Amino acid sequence: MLPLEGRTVIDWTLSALRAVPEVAEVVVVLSHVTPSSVGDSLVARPEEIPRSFITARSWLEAVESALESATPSKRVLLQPANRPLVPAVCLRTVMEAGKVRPVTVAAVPVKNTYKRAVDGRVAETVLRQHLFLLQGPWLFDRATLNDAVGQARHFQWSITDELSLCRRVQLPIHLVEGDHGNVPITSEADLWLMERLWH
Amino acid sequence: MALGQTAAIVLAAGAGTRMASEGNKVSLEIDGRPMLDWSLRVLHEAAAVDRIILVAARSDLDLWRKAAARFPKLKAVVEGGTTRHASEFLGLAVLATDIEAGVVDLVLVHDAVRPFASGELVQRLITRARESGAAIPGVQVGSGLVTAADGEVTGYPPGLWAVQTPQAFKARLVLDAHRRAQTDRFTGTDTASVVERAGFAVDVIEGSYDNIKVTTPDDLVRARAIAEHLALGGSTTLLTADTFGA
Repeated sequence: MLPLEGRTVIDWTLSALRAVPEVAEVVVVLSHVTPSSVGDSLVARPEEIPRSFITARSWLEAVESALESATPSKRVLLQPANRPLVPAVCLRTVMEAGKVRPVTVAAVPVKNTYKRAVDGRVAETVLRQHLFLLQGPWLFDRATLNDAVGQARHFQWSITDELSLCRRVQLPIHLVEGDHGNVPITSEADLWLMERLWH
Repeated sequence: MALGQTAAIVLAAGAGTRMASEGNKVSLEIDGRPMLDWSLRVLHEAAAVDRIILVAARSDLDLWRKAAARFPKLKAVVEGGTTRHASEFLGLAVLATDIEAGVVDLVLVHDAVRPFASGELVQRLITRARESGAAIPGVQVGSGLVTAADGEVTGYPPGLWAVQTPQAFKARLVLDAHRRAQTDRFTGTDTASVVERAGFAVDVIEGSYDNIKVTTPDDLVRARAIAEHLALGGSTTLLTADTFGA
């Protein structure tokens, strides 16, 4: 909900979804903010994709609630609200590849050198050509996501994000090309920098 | 026992093809000064660093030799090789005689495209490397990194650090490791990988999220923003992107 160039971060992210005609409905899951405080600027205009707002206390609850709230569909796109620079091409690529796979996510190859360390000492240098940084958006086959979330709830697994859910349920994850510019905003300092990146 | 000298090798010979700019990327300005000036300054101002060797592209040799007037610790500017690894070896070659004689006993290797390493980090690296033999800075990576092949995720590597420079080593150790690599035709991704391959332990210490590597136009914008933020007195953690490692 932080301001960015005259709008909120989430407003920019919602605008990015306009680039994907296949998105029929948007459910915005908020934490720490009540839907009544969302403000008029976030309410969808008549020409826009319908939006609804719900709140949740955890990632798992957020997905469960959103699945209950959303109208029936074959697939579900999970877009991190704090990535307002998600490019349209990235969204479209995820949507296309995800038509025939249970889980698809945008990712970028790493640019840096990564090492595995144990007790403060290098154990190995990891070959960077095999390493990818997951960014989102994620596209799930809805039945697959429903089932995975159900298992997590039933077995009381500690699930904090899409990746931990897929790992726990052992879902195959397909990667498509992301964009290094699609950076997350996680602090006021990020926001400060983001404004400069735009000028 | 008296300590030997500490030498720093600064690598500035990269082609910078991802930057898509005319000239070498280390000449690009951040807050009115070339990026290389920033990288040299932190080492020059470190009391524990006695001399600096700059490894530069052939086309930049004359330009950077003039920098010695601004940085008296800059003792040699030599032409780099076709890879980072080769440039590293050429920098070590300048120091080889003094390393073998025990005059230089610690070597730092730093990428010129990391303009925001701090003096405090340099000092911590030197202290740790004198104790353990080798120390490199890094930042711990949270979840979100996976291994993949043919577009499918194959694993979730734990305990990863995005490593940075400067990297600090006992001088004989890094020279020996590089000579072995030369004999075996091994090319390291960073200096530490050469040392690791030779069987020496390398410690990882906390780096800084500001210590980014500037290799693309986006990185340069970030670098300019970080410089502005630092000038305003900010101690920052800017953007959790994949821009921190070596």
